[in-house]
Parts: sequence; C-alpha cells; structure tokens
Amino acid sequence: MTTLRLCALACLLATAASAQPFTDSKSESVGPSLIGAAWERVVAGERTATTAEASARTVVHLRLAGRQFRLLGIRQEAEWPSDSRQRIELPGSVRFTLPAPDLSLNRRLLSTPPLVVPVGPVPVAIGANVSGQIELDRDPVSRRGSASRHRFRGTLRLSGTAEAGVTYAVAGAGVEGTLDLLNAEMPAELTLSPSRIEYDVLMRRSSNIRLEVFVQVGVGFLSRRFTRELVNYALAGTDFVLQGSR
Amino acid sequence: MGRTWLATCAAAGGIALVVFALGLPRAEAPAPSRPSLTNQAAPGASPRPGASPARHAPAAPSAALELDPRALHGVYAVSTRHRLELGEATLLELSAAGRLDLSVEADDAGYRLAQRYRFSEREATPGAPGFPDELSLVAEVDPRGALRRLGLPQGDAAARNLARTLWAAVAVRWPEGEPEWSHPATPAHARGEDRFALGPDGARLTRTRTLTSLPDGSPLDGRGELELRLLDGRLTALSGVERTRIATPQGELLATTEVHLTRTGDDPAAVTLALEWEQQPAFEAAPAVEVPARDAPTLVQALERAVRVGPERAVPALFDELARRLAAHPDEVALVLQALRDGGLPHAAQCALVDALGASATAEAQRGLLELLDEDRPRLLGNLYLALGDQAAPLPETTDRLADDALIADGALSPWARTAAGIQIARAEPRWAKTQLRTSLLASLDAGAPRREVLEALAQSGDPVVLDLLGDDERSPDPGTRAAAAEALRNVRGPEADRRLLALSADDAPAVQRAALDALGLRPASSAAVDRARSALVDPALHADAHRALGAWAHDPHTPAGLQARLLELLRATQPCGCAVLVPEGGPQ
Repeated sequence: MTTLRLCALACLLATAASAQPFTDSKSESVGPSLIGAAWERVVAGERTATTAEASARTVVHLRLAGRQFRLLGIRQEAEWPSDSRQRIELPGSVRFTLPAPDLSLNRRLLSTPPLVVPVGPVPVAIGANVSGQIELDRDPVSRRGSASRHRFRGTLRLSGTAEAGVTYAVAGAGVEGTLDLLNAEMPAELTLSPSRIEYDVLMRRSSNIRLEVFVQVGVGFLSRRFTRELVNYALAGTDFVLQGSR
Repeated sequence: MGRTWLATCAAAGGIALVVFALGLPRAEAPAPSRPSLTNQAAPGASPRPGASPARHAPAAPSAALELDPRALHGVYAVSTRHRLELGEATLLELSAAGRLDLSVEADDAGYRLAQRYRFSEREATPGAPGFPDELSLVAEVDPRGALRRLGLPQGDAAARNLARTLWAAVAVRWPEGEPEWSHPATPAHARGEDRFALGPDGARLTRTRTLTSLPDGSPLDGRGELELRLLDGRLTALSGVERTRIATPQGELLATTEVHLTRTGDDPAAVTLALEWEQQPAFEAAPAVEVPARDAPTLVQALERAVRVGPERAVPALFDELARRLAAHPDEVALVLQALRDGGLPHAAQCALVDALGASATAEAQRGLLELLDEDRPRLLGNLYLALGDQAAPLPETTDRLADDALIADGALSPWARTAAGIQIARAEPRWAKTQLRTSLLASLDAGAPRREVLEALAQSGDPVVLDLLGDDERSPDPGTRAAAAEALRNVRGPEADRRLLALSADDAPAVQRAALDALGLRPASSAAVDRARSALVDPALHADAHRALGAWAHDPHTPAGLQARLLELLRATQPCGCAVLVPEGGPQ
C-alpha cells in the first residue's frame, strides 16, 4: 500500500514538474490583396511546478499589391510571481522592452516604393505610407491568493495614405479615400500561478479602408474622369476575445 | 458610372449637331413655318454687335443662309467610337450605335431641342464604363445659337458634368453671314482654335479644330474635322473625327473620337423627360487632389482637439502631417517647442509633438529635442530618447548625449538612453556614431548596467559582437535567459548566427523555441529552418510562431518560387488553426 502511494505521489510530482505550454490565437484579415491589413492576437504560456509565464501578443501586417509587410508587434508579458513587461516591435527589426509602465508613441511604420498594378485598363502605381500610434500602460502586479494578476491596457491606431498615379501623365490622376487600417484597444488580464494560468485577452477594433483611383484622360469629347474603386471595407467595432484557463 | 460616358455620344452627337447647325450663318428673318435652307444674296447682312473678334476676314462673295433649327427635327442613325491608346497599347475603347430621336420646337426664347438616344449596340473594353442603354436630354438655345440651359436626367451628376464639358467643347457664337470664320476652341479648357467653312453650295459646313496646349500649358497636338451635310432644308448627315496626341514619358497618348449621324426619318418619337435644368452650363473642373497645406500651429490645434474630443484615430495622420510640415519648414520647430513649453497640452498630444520633431529629422528638431531633454519632463523621457535614437543623420551632440546617458548604470533615463543608442546603431549612417555608441554600451556592462538591457540594445544593429557576448546566455539553465539570447541573435546575419538560432529552436523550453522561430522568420528561408518550422506546426505550443515564420518566408520575394508555392500550399492546409491572416489571397508577387 505504501509503495502504491509513493508511486502516485511520484506520478503527481512528475506531472506537475513537466512544462505545460499552450497557445491560443485568433486572427483577422480585412480588404483584398490589393490593399488590406491583417492582424493576429496570440496568447502563449507555460507553467512548471515552480514557474508560470504568459504573454499576449499582437502582430499587424499590411498587404499591398499582393505583398505582405510586417508593420509592428506588441507583446504584453507576465511572469509569476511579480514581473510584467511590455515590448514593442517596430519595422527594421527594432524591438525594445519599455523601461516604464506607460508610453504613447507615434511612428511612421511603412513607406513603400510604388508598386505597379493594373486597375482596369490603366496601369497604376500604388504606394502606401502608414503611421501608427501605440499607447501602452500596465497596472502594478496584484495578488489573488498565491496567484499574481497582471493587467495591461493598450491602444493601437494605424492610419495611412495611399498614393496612386497612372504611369503616364495625362490630364490628372490621383487617389481618394480613407485608410484607417486599424483602431484597436488591446486590454489583457493574465492571472498566473504554477498550478493555473488564466487569460482574458481582448481586441476591440474597427477598420475602415476605402480607396478610389481616378484618372482624367484625354481632351475634347474624351475628356472625362475615369474612376475605379480599389477597395471599400468598413469593419464595425466588435470584440475579438481570447479567454481560458490552463 | 455608365451614365458618364453618355456624354461621349449624347454630346458628341446631339449637342454638336445642334450647335453646329445653329452656327450656320443666316439672315435676319422670322422663323419660317417649315424647315428651309436657301442660298440667297445677302444685301442686308451686316455684322452684329458683339460678333466674334477672332473672326477671320470674310471671303467674297459671302453667302447668307437661312436655317431654321427645325431643320434638325428628325430621326437619325447614330454611331460613335472612342479609343485611347498609349504607344502600341489600347487602353480604352468604347463604341455604340443606335437611334436618335431629335425633336425641335420653337418658342419665344428660341428653340427647344429634345433628344433621346437609344443604343442597340454597345461595346467597351473590360473594366471600362459603358454607354447607357438610353439617354434623354434637352438643350434650349436662343435664336442666335447660344445655349441657354440644359435639361438633364434628374440626379445624374455625372451626366450633367459631362454634358457641360461637351457643351464647352463645341459651343460657338453666332458667326454672322460669312462663309469662313473662327473661334477659340475650348474643349476641356484646352487651348486651340476652331475654323469654320461653308461650302459654296451652302449644303456643307465643316469645322477644323486645332488644339495646342492643355490647361496647365503642356503641349498638345489635337486635330479634328467635323462635317454637316444639308439637303432640302434638312440635316442629312454629320460626320466627325478628332485625334489628340499628348507626349508622355511612356510614349505618345492618342485619343480618337468618331461620331456619325445619318437621317433615317422625319418623325421623331415623343420624348418623355424628367429633367433637372442647368442655367448657364459651364465646364466644371475636376476637384483638386492636393490637400491644402496647414502650418504647424494649425496642426498642433488639430492634434489637441483630436486628443481631447476626438476622433483619436486622427492622431497618427496628424502626427505624420506635422512631421512632414516640420521637415519642409524647420523654422516652425520653434513654434512646436513653444507649444510644449506653454503647457496645457494633453500628454498624448505632447508625445505626438515630440515624435513629430523626431520624424522630421532636421538639425533644428534634434537641437530642440536635446533642449527638451534638459528640461524636467519625466513623462516624455521615452519619447525624447526614442526620437533622438531614430535619427539617421545624428548631430555630434546627439550622439554624445546618448553615449553619455547610456553609460549611466541605473536611473530613469539610462534604460531609455540604451534603447535609443541601440536603435541609432542600427539606423545611423556615420560610422563614428555607431562606434561611439557601441563602445558606450559595452562599457555600461562593466558599469553594472543590466545585461539583458544592453544585449537588447546591441541586438538592434545585428552587431556581430553579440555572438561573443551571448555564449553563456545560450547555455544558461534559465529558459528566460536563453529566450533573450535568441531574441538578441535575430538581427545578426551569418552562418554562425543561423546555426545557433537553429539550435535554440530545438531547445526544450517552448519560450526559447518560440523566440528562435520568430527570429528565423525574419531571415531568408533556409531548408533547415523551413524543416524546423514545419515540424513545429504540429506542436500546439509553437503552432502560431511556426505558422508566422512560414508565412513570412512565403511572402519573401527572395524565397525561390518553388519553395514559395509549397509553403503557400502548406499554409492553406493549416488555415483552420486560426492563423489565416498570414496566407495571402493571391499567389506570391
């Protein structure tokens, strides 16, 4: 009987001591491949008999003329019993950990060279400039029993201008529209202990992309404004939720 | 949209027909009771007040014609064709053919010409807007042929604008009783001249158009000829071709328009119209594309308003506009500094101003940022250092300041300074700046600066010195330290860094594997890295990072096409995992 109890205890310890990693993710894509955006929210975590850590990550990409550009990444990290960190990834492989709990940062994230795509019968050169505002903040780590609670707040706003022009000069060409790629709030709450990791991670976002290219061609009878809608996408504000416990 | 092209036909056929027909010289006479066109001597013809100053000297003998616009009353077969070519390539081609019912009524003010076009044949190049099935319009002209107003389909703004354009293209003043005359031509505001000539038998009128420049002054070669044939007091045919050539960097752009009308009957169907009337129709230019420039104080106000009352989503665009403004007008840096020093701005607006100063990348802005750094602004420290760190062409005083502050072991500013120094090593052009900052960062290690912080700063640049510093970290028993080592290797290029990252991607700890996979995804694809990511796809703890790395390689233009195709296939097959964003909708470009 004693031998059996020892075996059970050993099994329990072995189970508790082994890593318990997990990931949970959601992603979304708006707009066509001509111009659009995509983002993902990923929660990853791992606990052992003596440690627990988890992170909530947001990665945003821009699609332009079939190509994909990584715009930025934001990582909210928590480590039991008392550490919280926030990290920012900017274009050019720049990543840094915030030395302070909060930051409001504005950056130019992307400026593409013109990419020529056919729009109807007219070859159009499209380029995009994207600027972003990142606002991050976190609360001091609090306790809930033996568990540590880590609360993060984040806001991400990406807007841009798209420049389009026909590859020949006629009477006029340009692009009209709005490019609010993403307007998102990213709160995250991570509760950690070696026996359990709970996460409640949101992404409350909206997006509005509308672009129309126009070309003024010819003179005389042919003088007219030739317009073509490139993309029109409006995403109503909704929640993008990741919740669970491991 | 389809209605827009109406004009091509509607105007080309209808309005041109009306205007040119009415443009015929005629004697002072009451409108006849029936359509008539007669040649006769013009003993009483004398120039009217206000006759065109561009008129050419009349050729003798002059003919006086009497044309009642009711001569146009009838049914016509109409066809029109438009083509736009660039070099050898046809960009746009439209054609239509059908029936025109043209009804002319006289009233006290002149004439009312109701036109109804019904197109039975229509063709357009794919993607181009086509002709409408049917179009009606009314032109009211005074007895001298000047357009009084246009009646157009209700709510059809495109038709209205195009009709105006076409009217402007063909409108001429009453030419008096002379067989030849000319007027400035104003199609779409291009500059040129229309010359008119009446045939000796009075049964043929020709217009020769010459265009010389666009509204912006750029040269243009436009030529066209339009001919009207008259018989027994009725218009029997109208035929015109116009070709316009514009030199472009990509070759010659050629626009061709053809219009043909042939009388087929004398009793037009009644036209039932629901029209909006346009007084004094005039060409309406396309709206300007340029956004009016706003100066820095105006932008600061807009920024403050956006932060305080919204919309907050406008902040990034205002930041960008402000940065561009300051780059073009460094003298306005002082105004921004003043706005910061005056106080009262919300914190987010202050941050945006500091960031805009940094993004403007002028020497004036750098000096302003250094001044602000000396002032007591603890909540702006991060923005100030990051703005200075982002300078591609730092001033010596900028580099000196970052190097000095990075050496300080602890305190509120030193972590920001080290981060900024690391970013500037990656971004700055001058080698002396990189060397100075790297030396300072390495020295800060000896001064007791946190190791991870210094490694993170050095890692921005991909400095190979990181390889020497990381040996112990990669073998550390602490998974967090090993993950930090993988992060620090992400920008270091070369086979040694590749080998170490691959080794870390097979670490026991998922956090280390995730960091290594993420770093591998930022490098060009290698067969070993792809194999590692593929095998990680089946691990729930690594799936998202593996998927992201594979997606990055699939989009990398340097990845061989065959491998790209295989990666895309693999990614699509694994979409249900929730990582669909990284799969492009089309193929690789």
